[in-house]
Amino acid sequence: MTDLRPFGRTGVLLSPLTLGAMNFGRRGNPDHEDCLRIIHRALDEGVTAIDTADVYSQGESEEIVGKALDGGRRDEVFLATKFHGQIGDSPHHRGNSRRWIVREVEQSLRRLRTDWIDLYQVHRPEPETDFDETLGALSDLVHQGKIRYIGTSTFEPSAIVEGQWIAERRGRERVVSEQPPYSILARGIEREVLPWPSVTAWRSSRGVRWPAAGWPAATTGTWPDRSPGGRNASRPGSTPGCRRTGASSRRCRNWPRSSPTPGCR
Amino acid sequence: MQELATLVADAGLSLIHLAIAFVLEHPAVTSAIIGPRTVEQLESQLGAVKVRLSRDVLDRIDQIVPPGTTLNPADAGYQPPSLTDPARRRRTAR
Repeated sequence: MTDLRPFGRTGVLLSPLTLGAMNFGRRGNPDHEDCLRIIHRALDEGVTAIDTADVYSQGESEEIVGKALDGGRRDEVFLATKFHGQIGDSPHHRGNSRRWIVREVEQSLRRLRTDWIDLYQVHRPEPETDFDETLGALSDLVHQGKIRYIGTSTFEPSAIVEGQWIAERRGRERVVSEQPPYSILARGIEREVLPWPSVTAWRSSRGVRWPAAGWPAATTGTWPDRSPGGRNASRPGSTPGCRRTGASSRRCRNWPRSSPTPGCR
Repeated sequence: MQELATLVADAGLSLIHLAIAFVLEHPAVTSAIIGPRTVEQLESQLGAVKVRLSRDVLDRIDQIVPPGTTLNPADAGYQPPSLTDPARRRRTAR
């Protein structure tokens, strides 16, 4: 592809396009072989990052990505997934609690056929759950080697800042990215989310240790039925593009989208 | 939308390339997530990384959709309880 870009201040470099896997599976393209062709083509063209979520087709997207990377391609990819959305019917199988995170990460690892997730993201905020519960569980996963980095999606500026405070005051791992919807039609994050990395740099220059961030995810595109810390915006997203064009993200985080839909994209 | 269609025609770009290149233009964005459902959709998106938008094109985008503006709030992906729950906005709810 073209030049790689720094993933916040993690030291990791990513391709400017991340392959969003939301459309792989029964909610998008149910033909697994065809999905594998899309994934392999993207990797062959220089895409180095894949973003999926446990809720995308209720685990089927992760299974397809796992199948595509099985057989030697796992290390080529910076693999991102998410938790939070309802899986099945049990009230225990959703949310941002330690109980669910510790259980669901194992299921994502199994579906993805890997020993580690590069970026594990909180798919949506959950104001009624103490974020220290969430960050504490995620920090443990980092220490256990099951995930490498922690990210968020669709977090508001105040929640992003709160996450950094909690990490600093309670000795937790920091959130390094945010994946928000971002597109020509959805520019709200230009107000307070996207400027954050610059503020970070300023504080750093003053000797204040502050986390970095800024990812990914700008979404563009298409949200079928559903994007940056960073911030993904890279996550894809309904307007001009969307379902029809497949451009997305953040929408999936995801841009030009057309029909917004509630729920997790 | 019509204004964006005119803009891409004038600039000689596809709407998809314009959409992705716009996102990649922001210095705080590391990577744009694309969500292809078919190989053809993927192919229509890959070329966007080579597109550089001119100052004129970016200025016209700013005129069509002002910076910091989300036209459809649902596109933000998340609405906090302070907005979704009317009771939190009314002294005499219920």
